[in-house]
Amino acid sequence: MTSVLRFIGNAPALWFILPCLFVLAFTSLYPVGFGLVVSLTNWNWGSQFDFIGGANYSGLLADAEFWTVIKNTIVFATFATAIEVALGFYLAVQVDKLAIRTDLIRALIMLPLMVSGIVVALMSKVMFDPFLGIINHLIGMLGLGPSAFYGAADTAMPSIIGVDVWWQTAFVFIIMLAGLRGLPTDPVEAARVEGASEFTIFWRLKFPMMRSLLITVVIIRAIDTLKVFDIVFGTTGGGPALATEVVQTFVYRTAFSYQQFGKAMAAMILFSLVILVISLALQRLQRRGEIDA
Amino acid sequence: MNTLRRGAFFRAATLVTASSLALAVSATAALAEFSWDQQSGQSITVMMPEHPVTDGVRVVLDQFEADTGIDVNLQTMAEDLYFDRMEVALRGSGDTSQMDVYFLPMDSTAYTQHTNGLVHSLQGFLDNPDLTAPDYNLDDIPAGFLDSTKYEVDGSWEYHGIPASFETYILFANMDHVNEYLDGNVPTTMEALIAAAQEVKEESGGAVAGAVLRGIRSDTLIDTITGFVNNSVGAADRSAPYNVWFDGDWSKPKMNDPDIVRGLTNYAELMKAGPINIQAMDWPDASQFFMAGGAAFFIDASLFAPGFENPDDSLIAGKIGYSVIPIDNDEGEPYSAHWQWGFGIPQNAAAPEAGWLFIQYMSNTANATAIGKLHGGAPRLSTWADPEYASSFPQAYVDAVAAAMPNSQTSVVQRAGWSEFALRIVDVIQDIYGSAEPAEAAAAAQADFEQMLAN
Repeated sequence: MTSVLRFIGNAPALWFILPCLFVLAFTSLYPVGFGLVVSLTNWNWGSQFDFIGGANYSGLLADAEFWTVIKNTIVFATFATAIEVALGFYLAVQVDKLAIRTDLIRALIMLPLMVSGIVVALMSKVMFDPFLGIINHLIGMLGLGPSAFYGAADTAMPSIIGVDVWWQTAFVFIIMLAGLRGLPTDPVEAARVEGASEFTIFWRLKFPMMRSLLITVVIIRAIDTLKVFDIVFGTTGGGPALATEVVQTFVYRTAFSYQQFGKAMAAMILFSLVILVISLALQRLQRRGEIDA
Repeated sequence: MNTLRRGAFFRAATLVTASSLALAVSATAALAEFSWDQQSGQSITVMMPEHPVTDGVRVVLDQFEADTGIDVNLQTMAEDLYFDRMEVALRGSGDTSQMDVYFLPMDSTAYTQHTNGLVHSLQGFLDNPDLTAPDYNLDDIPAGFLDSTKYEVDGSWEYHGIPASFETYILFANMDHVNEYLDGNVPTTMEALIAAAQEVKEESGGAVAGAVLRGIRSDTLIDTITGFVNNSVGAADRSAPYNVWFDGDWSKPKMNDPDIVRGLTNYAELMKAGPINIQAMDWPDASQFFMAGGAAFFIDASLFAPGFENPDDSLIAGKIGYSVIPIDNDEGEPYSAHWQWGFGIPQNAAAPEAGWLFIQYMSNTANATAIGKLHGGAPRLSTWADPEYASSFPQAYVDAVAAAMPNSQTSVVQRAGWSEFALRIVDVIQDIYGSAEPAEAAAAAQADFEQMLAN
C-alpha cells in the first residue's frame, strides 16, 4: 500500500522521465532484443529469415573452431591485461617517486595511446615484416635469424599481445598515477616518521589504498581486451590458420563473409555472457577489496 | 601444342576483329540512330574498388558524360572496404539507394546476392533495342565468362552481370633468380616447379624464396587454388553450379578425390618453399614481395602483370617470364581457372536505365582497348586481337594468357554461402603446410563438407 502511494506521489516525476526511459529502452533494449531474435534464426542478411530455435547456439557449442576462438580471446585478454596492468602500475609508481617535473615523461609514455588501433596495426605490420621491418633488422644485428612474427603460428599471438601492451600500457599508467597522486599524504608521512621503508610504505599503505582503483582498471582493460578487433584485423586477420582468430574477427567473418547473421549474433550473445561473468567476478573482487579496506 | 593453340586463338580473334571492323562500317548509321543521350540529365552513382579497371573507366568517363549527358558520381575505395560497402549499399532501399552501378564479383558472391534478390537482371535491357545499341556485341565475350552470372529467373536464363575484366592463373618467373639458381630453365611440370622452388630457397640460404603465393587463411584464395586443382584434375565435368568440387550433386563432394588432393598438396608444397611469413600474405603482400625481387616464382592472377612491368613500382620490370601453370595431369595439358569482375546493377538502383547505359559504354567494343590497356584482362576476344592492346604488354604475357585461356574454367560455384566451404578447402592447404598428411587433411574436409551440406 505504501509503495503504491509512493508511486502515485511520484507520478509527476515519472512523467518527466518517461521520454528518457523510452529513448533508453529503444536504444538499449531494442538492439539487444533484436540481436536475441536474430540469433534464433538463419538470417542471411537477405530474404532467408527462418526461426531455427537454438540451432545456432548448439552448433557453436559443438564447433571446435568456436572454442579455439574463445580460447585465443581469453589468452590474449589474460596476458595483455596482466602485462599492461603490471607494467603501467610499475611505471606510475616510479614516475610518482620522481622529485622533478614529469610532464615530458608522462607525455612520452602516453604517446602510443593517441594512435588509433588500425594505425598501430599497420605500423607494427611494417615494423615486424621479416624482410623490410626494423625489428628483424635489429634482431639480425644481434646475430639472430629473422622471425616471421605475424606470419607463424607460434609467434603471432605473442606479437599481437606485445603490440597491445605497447599501445595500451599508458592507459593504466595515467589512471594509476592519478590515483597515487590523490592518496592522502598524512599516513605516508606518519609511516616515514615511524621509520618504515619505502617498500613497506608502498606495500602496507599505498597498495591497499589503490586496490579498488587497480581492480577497476583491470576490469576496464579486461573488457577492452576481450573485445579486441582492430589490431588483430589489421595485422594477422586471425591467422596464421586460427592462431590469432578472436571472437570479434570470427563474428565479423561469419556475418560479413558468410552472411550467417544468426550464427554471428548467437556467438556475440554467448560471448557477452562470458564477458558478463568475468565482469561480475571482478566486481565482486572489487567489493571485497573495498570492505577489507 | 601450345603454339598451335595460340595460333588457333589468334586466328579466331583476328576473324572476330575483321568481322567487327566490317560490321563497324555498316553499324555507323545504326550507332547514330541509337540515342545515347536518352537519359540526359540523370545522375548516377557508380561504386568500384580501386582497381586497374577503375583507372580505365576514368579514362573514358568524361567522354561518357559528354555523350550521354549523365552525371556520374564515381565512388572508389580500397578493395576490402569495397566488399563491405557493396553489401551494405545493396541493402539500402528507396531514397537510401546508394549506387546505380557497381563492380560485381562474378562468383558465388554475386550468386548469393542474386538469391537474396539484390541484383537487377540485365536481360530486360539487353532485349530492349531502345536501351541497347545495335552494335553491342555479346558474342565477342566467351560464353564461359558471361555464364558466371547467368541465373534462372521464372524459367528463363538471364544475365546479371557483364564482364569487365578476367584473370586467369599463370606462372610468373623472376628470370634473374631463374638464371642464377636454375640455369635459366623455367619448369614446365608442377613436380619440377616445386623441386626448383625448394632448390632456389636452399641454394640462396633463404635469402630468396623459391615461390610466393597467397598464404593467409581466407576464402578469397579459392580462385587461385581452383587453378591449381583444375591443373591436377585435367579434363573433367565442371558444369555449373558444382564446378570441380562436387560430382554433379551437392550430396557428393569430392574433397578426397586424389587429383584434388594432389592439387591442394601442390599449393602447400610451393608455400613451403616460400618466405617464412607466407601465412600472413594476402595478394597485396605476395605481389609486393614478388615485385621487390623476393621470390623466384609466383602463381596468381594474370592481371598482376601490368603492375609487375611498371618500372616505377616494380624492381623486376622487364625481367619477368610468363607461362601457363606447369602441367600436373595425365593429358599433359595446362589447365587453369579464371575469375572475373563485372558490372552489375543493384535491384534498388534509383536510375537503372542510366546505369545500363554506363555499363554498355564501359563494356562495348569501342572502349575495350582504352580500358583494357590498363588492366590486361580484357574480356572481349576482339580486344586481344587489337595490336594496340596486345602491344601494351610483353608478348610472353599475351602468349601465356592466350595459352591458358582454352583450358581455363571458371572458379565459380553457384551456391549461396560457398565462402564457408571455400575456407574449409583453404584449411586443407593450411593443414598440409603445417605437416598434416594430405589424404587425412582432405578426408577430414570431406567429412566436414558432408556435415555442412546436411545442415
